[in-house]
Amino acid sequence: MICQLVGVKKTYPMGELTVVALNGIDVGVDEGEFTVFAGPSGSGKTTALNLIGCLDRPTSGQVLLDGRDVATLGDDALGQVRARRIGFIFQSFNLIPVLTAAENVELALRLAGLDKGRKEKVEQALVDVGLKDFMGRRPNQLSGGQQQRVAIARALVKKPAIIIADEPTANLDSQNGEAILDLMRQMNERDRITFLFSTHDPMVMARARRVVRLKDGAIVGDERLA
Amino acid sequence: MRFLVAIAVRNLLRNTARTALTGAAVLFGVAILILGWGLVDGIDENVLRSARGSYAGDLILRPDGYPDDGMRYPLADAKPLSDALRARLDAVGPWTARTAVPARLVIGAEAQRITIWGVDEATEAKVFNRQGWVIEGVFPNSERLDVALGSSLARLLEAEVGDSVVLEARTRDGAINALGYTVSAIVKSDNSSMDALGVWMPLARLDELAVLQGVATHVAVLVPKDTATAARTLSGFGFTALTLAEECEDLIAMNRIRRKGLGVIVGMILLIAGAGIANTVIMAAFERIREIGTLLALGMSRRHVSLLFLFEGGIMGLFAGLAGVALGSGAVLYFQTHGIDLSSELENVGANMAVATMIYTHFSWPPIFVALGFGVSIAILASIWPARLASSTVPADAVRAD
Ligand SMILES: Nc1ncnc2c1ncn2[C@@H]1O[C@H](COP(=O)(O)OP(=O)(O)O)[C@@H](O)[C@H]1O
Ligand SMILES: [Mg+2]
Repeated sequence: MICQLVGVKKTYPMGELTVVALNGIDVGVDEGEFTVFAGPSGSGKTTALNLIGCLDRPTSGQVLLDGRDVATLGDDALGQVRARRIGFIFQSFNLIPVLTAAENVELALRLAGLDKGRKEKVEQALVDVGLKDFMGRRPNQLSGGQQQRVAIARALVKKPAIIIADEPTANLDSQNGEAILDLMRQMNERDRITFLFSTHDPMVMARARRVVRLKDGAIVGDERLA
Repeated sequence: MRFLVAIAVRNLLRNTARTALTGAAVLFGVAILILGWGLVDGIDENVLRSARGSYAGDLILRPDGYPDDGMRYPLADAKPLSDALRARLDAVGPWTARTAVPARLVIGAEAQRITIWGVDEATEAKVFNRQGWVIEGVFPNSERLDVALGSSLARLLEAEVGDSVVLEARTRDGAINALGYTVSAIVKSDNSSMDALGVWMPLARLDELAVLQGVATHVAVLVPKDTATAARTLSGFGFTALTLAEECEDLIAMNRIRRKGLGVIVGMILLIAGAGIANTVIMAAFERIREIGTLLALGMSRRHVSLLFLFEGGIMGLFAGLAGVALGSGAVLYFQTHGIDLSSELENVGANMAVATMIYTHFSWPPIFVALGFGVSIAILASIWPARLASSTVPADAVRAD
């Protein structure tokens, strides 16, 4: 088990009220999985992914990474965990606008402290996502699909234990979305890279090998597909 | 770290208009501090230079009890130089005696109260080399009934070289006397009050008008070094000796107030610059919240995110500061050689004060380092709080911000 949520509850204060985003969920992801968190908007997908990705801390319950409770780690230690163990792909790509495609990918290696053979690794990652000829371009000189490929290369390059992708295709047209999913799936099958992503799109769900269904902050289904 | 600096620089170039606008405040603060400092330093030098070259030398002697405010020149208080004093003066350095006589100058239908400076032809040039003076015509000599007019006075009376004037004065005994003279020169002496109210003529000629009986009102001495000791050896002969620094004390003190004023002005400019920078960095932080979240998500430490914003503030401060140094010291160097001509301004305010009519700024390194240090420090200080704000966001909230 790479990562696991145990009885995790997350609430947000909203003025006088508190919004319950996750109401005590238990779920784990194994190595090599290609799992999607599926559910309507507001069901708690992003919150759950952020907790597994150590971008936030639960209100109660435990987040285990490699079997260890991350609650004991400080902010910077948690940052190091993210830098080395977790790759992120965001719905809005989230590339650093002032850096070129190659530099964006390189940044992930630098922050992970992986300095050996950096240039070659960056180049290989960008070749892997089909952007060999776009390495020197800035994000605003790339299409949405190309930007998301850079993001995949950025997540991939440091060989993380898991890549977390929150609605990676939501900002892309269906053709580009398909291509991104194909790429992810291909990397999962060929290199056994673990993917955990989310969607509210049934077409995308169908591409996953395991579907965890969320509704109103609770898990309402967990099925493995062929 | 170098990567962080590179990102900071590119972020600054992202919105060049905003960066330039924010930097402008630092630029002007630094430039004004340097120029102001050079000007104030220059004024001190100019005050001394003007007094030294126009009437005081390194050391000035006046009869005991003679007013030293430069407003009145009572001939009744003038005294002859004793042989003992002359001997002492000879021992100290080159010296010359002058006698100032209040008089009325009449030209055509115009009349004006003026002061006649009787100068000793034999010794005058040993003390006053008239460097920096502008003399139109020929300085009067005792062969003829000639006078030189201060340039401002000449302009006021519309007098020209070759004009005839009448000077009316009281002799030392109080009798009124008047004689006609020819204007042989118009003199700009780098001393505003002498240019406005002064008339020069040889002592021998003045003797005919005012019957001086060998008295003097001023003795200017050049002393190569240790003026204070020289001043002491010259006192007690019926004359009071002041060093150039003592003579100019009031003007220098006035300049000290200017120095404080400059500090306040520059402080205010830099404060405004600081507020501008803080505002810019905060705006940048809010605009780039998703980017900050991404950096944190990728594992950048809060300290480094904070540093990124400090670098942005600091680098902008450094470049704006350097531009300010270029502008400020450029101006100081320009006015150091070309000077700022204040003569017309001083005429307009009817200056009675003896101040230099040309102000030369003074270049030195301390203001450059101080100003640059101030500029960069303000920029960094102003960035600290926004930087901390930016780096303390929860990455989960930041990455999903739209
Ligand atoms: N930072 C936040 N502050 C307040 N409420 C939040 C915050 N983040 C999420 N929520 C709420 O938590 C619930 C789950 O949100 P989210 O995890 O984003 O769902 P999903 O990704 O499935 O759309 C929603 O009701 C949402 O409004
Ligand atoms: Mg979501």
